[in-house]
Amino acid sequence: MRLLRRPLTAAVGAFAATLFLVGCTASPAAEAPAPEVKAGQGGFPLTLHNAWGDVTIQKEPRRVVALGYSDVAVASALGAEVVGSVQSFGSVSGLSQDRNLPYVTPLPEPVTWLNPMDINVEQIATLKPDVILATAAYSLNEQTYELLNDIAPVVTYEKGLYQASGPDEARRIGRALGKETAARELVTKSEQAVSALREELPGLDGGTYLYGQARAGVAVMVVAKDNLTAKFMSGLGLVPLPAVANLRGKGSVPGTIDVSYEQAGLFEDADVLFMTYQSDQYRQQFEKDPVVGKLGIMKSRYVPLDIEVATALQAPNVVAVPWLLDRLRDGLGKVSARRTGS
Amino acid sequence: MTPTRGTAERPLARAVPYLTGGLLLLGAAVVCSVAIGSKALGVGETLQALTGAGVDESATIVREVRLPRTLLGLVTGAALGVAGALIQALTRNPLADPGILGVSAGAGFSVTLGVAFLGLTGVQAHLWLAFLGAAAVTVLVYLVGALGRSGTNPTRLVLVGVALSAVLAGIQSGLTLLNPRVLDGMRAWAAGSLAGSDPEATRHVIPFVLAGLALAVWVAPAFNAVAMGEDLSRSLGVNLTVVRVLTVAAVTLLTGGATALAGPIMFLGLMVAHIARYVAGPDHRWILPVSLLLGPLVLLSADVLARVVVWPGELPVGVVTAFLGAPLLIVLIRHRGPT
Repeated sequence: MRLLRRPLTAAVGAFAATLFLVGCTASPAAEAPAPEVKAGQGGFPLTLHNAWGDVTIQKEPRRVVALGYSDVAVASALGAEVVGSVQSFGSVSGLSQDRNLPYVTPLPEPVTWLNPMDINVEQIATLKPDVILATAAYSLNEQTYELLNDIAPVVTYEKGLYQASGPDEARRIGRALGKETAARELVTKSEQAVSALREELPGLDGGTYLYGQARAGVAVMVVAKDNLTAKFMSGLGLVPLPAVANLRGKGSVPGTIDVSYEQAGLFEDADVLFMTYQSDQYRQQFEKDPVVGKLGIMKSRYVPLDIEVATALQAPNVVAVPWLLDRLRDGLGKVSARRTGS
Repeated sequence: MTPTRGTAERPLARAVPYLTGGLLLLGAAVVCSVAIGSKALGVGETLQALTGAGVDESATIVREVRLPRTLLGLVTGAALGVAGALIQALTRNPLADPGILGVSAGAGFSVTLGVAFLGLTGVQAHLWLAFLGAAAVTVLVYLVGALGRSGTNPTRLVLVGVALSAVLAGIQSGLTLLNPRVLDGMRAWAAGSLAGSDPEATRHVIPFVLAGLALAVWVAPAFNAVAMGEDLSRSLGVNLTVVRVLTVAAVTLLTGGATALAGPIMFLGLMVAHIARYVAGPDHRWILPVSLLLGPLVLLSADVLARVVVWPGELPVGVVTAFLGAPLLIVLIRHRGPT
């Protein structure tokens, strides 16, 4: 079966990394950045520190290209003219036709859709952007960054991919677009949505969750505390189930741990089990596994998540948060019910 | 090794210890495969789970996870081990594996087409697609290989098989890149894993593997003549075309069946046939039974390793066989010389 080895492995790797939290180790420039320089009354020209060097935006940008999901969501919510945008992961993977993100007001035409897996520099050059937002561009590397910088100033992550929180990322995008105040409002709205849900669902505080992706015979479970998904959950008051989080061992992806289905008995005590899948077959294998299938949690507190929710949960941006909470509400309600005995 | 080595008349008495030893080792591998896994179970607990009527977690793990997985390892290991030995005998090429004649490439390509254009998923669909592709490509390789004045010969077959494999692999990777749904559909299958085995699917494939093994047993004696070269084997009364057709049919059944069940498992056929020749000498009447024992022995051992090396997770067994196979092959070649 040599035919499958290289192309498939490479593509599978790329997809896997995309779907599921990378970035805990991706830290191209770890030095502490100098304070950001502001000049002029409207904030422009403005210099921002990127992982691969400083970039200066001379005047308030008009035409925006967005290469990460947070970039599209925040720029669009701030009313920027997005002329080029990455398409939704569902549409990339052929699961849906809609290239707009489910939590973003459909981008006004004309918009050029870009493949998030493969940054096409020439395609971006033809869009004549004033700024290229790439704070969450997961396939960006230094070489592409340099090429893009020749087209327009690139605003990417300050330290590494998925290292900044959703609010920090939103404020950074707001600053780059000259709409910092509006960006702060988006942050506040997101925080209010979290507080409102926590009020609505008492008992979330201290509740335990498991969130994982099913693969061949193993569930890849999120356990690291510094990972954006875990931080989002912790913002809701939830902690990863200690029985799994405290297992020794490493996961296929940084910040996770691989747990064989034989060990699925460990999942039983979680207040909720969120799972996501790379394919329907993996979902069937997981749900029909003799050990997993017999767990009580599978009948009462198991919540499968679709690809868009999983993608948003990978690095929850402030625009996605209210939508994300809505999609997780059922699962979170189960935590609340179990803990309050209602 | 022994003075009789290299002759076709290897006394049965000499083979018996090898076969007995192989059986004992295989028995030990089966025991390990049932007893060892990600979840640690004591000996008593495992025995109770095997014999008792309990429905607790350990009974589920032993009876519904490890036993079917062990059965799958036995079936695919035997199939791939024998297929490797057959291919090496047919091509008289000790570095051949079931991929070399395009059998695996055909199986994989056909599964990709089925998933891409017909939306077929699941073992049943994969099985028939794999057989179909393997058989179609093998026939094509034979037809192309038979063109020209010199007729079919092993070298030409190998060249055609490798070339066709490359072409099919190219088209297949193009398809999976253009249609990510295909990739998703094939992801679980392409992992090369014994985990999540469906006993129904295994039962469905067993008759095909048995048929392949029966064919292998039938053609095995002729391989000793084939090993001496085409002209000499013809002069000994061997009908080479019949031998080739039967061998290809056996390899198709064995590789197609195993691949449909467990996905691509690298290096197993290659590794097993090599060890078998090392242990049993050049007599194919012994190489095949030894391969039949070694295939599942190596696969089950690799699978047990796959369950514990990255505890509490698991690796697909294909990763372990590739990891073990490559260095072992180098050692064997260095030890024996490139014969």
